[in-house]
Amino acid sequence: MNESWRSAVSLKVKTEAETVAGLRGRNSQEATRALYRTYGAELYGFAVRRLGDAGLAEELVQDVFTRAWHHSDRYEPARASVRTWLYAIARNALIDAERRRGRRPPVQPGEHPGDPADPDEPIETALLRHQIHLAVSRLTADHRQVIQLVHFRGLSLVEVAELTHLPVGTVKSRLHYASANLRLALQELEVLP
Amino acid sequence: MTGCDRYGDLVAGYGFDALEAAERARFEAHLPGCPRCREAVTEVQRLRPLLDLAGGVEAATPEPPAMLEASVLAAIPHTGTFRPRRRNRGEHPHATSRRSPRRRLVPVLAAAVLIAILAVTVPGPGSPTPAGFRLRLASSGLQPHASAVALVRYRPWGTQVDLSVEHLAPTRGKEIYEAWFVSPHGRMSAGTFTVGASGHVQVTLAAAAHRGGYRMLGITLEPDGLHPGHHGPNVLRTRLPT
Repeated sequence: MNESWRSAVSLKVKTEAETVAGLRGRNSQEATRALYRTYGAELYGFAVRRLGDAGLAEELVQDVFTRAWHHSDRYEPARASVRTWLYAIARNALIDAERRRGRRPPVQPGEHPGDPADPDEPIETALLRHQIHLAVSRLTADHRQVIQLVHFRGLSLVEVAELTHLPVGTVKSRLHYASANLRLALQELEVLP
Repeated sequence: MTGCDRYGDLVAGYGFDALEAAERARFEAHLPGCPRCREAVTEVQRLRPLLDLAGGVEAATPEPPAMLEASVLAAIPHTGTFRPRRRNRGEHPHATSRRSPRRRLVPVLAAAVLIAILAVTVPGPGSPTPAGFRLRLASSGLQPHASAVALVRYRPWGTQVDLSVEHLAPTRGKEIYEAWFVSPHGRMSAGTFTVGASGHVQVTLAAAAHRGGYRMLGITLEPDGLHPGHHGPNVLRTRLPT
């Protein structure tokens, strides 16, 4: 890790920790907005995948940020990143939401914005899957395609080249950069060290 | 993940088991003597079980609705409504329940006064539509030609307001218009917006205001959007259906 990257990371951590500290300060609206704009979409995506219901997912995201506001004084930057902290809150909020849903009528078919997750799957596994989806979604379409063809369809580089009408060298290079970018995205999301 | 200079372009293909037999054999002959390539291959191979867990690369991440940000902001105490009071030494930073009776009364009285002002000549509850209630907001007299129609829809998380305003004075400098849900106990911001030279704007606002909790919907002109605690004059208002 070079020095400039290291300092950029520490600056980011410091800034996010300050944002959390600011949740209960004079600029709480700005702090909440900053936190929401960084993590709101991915938390919503996780909630939708897990709950299979957009309305419940919205409630959950609102609950997460309200809990974050209430417990912001408990956040310790040295122990966890803001993302880890928020997902820990989301995990607890999700458990409560699933308990509540157990008392509600089931969601009607057709209301799901995506395929609902297996409700018996551990939340941690669902969370990991969601983060991998997030990382993959950050790749370009070309990079997603080469991973799809090589990993999920089991094609060789030569077969991918024939299928896509690209030189083998281009496919080789594309897989190389797709792997590197996927790894980088997974590191940014703290899935990989 | 790059491997060595000579064989680095084979690392990803090998890690994903996508090399042809001859190329794979050549790379495997190289691997025992090259720690860089071995490490790079290990890093690629760590991706594979993660991809298996994801189950594919095509799944799109659902995007949150635009109004969710507003409802999150509205649900945070003190947000855009009342500034937290200054902290005294040794006091819990946000123990609102410890406010002195006089301090507790200030927002309540302010809301009561606002309701009393709004209640004069305010149009009554609007007509229900299949999607919610359509309400016409009347001018307070500050901008006599201003008018607005609001479609109010109750959601599980609160209330969504689709607002269409006409003939509002354009905002200048730091000015913003702010929509409020008002009750005898306080008021809650539903969001802010600016108006251009046309005086017309359509905007969707949201707040964690639940059915029956608020009596009025009002729009104020705030002189400084960066300091939402400073309450500007009321411009438009209407009663909410009970």
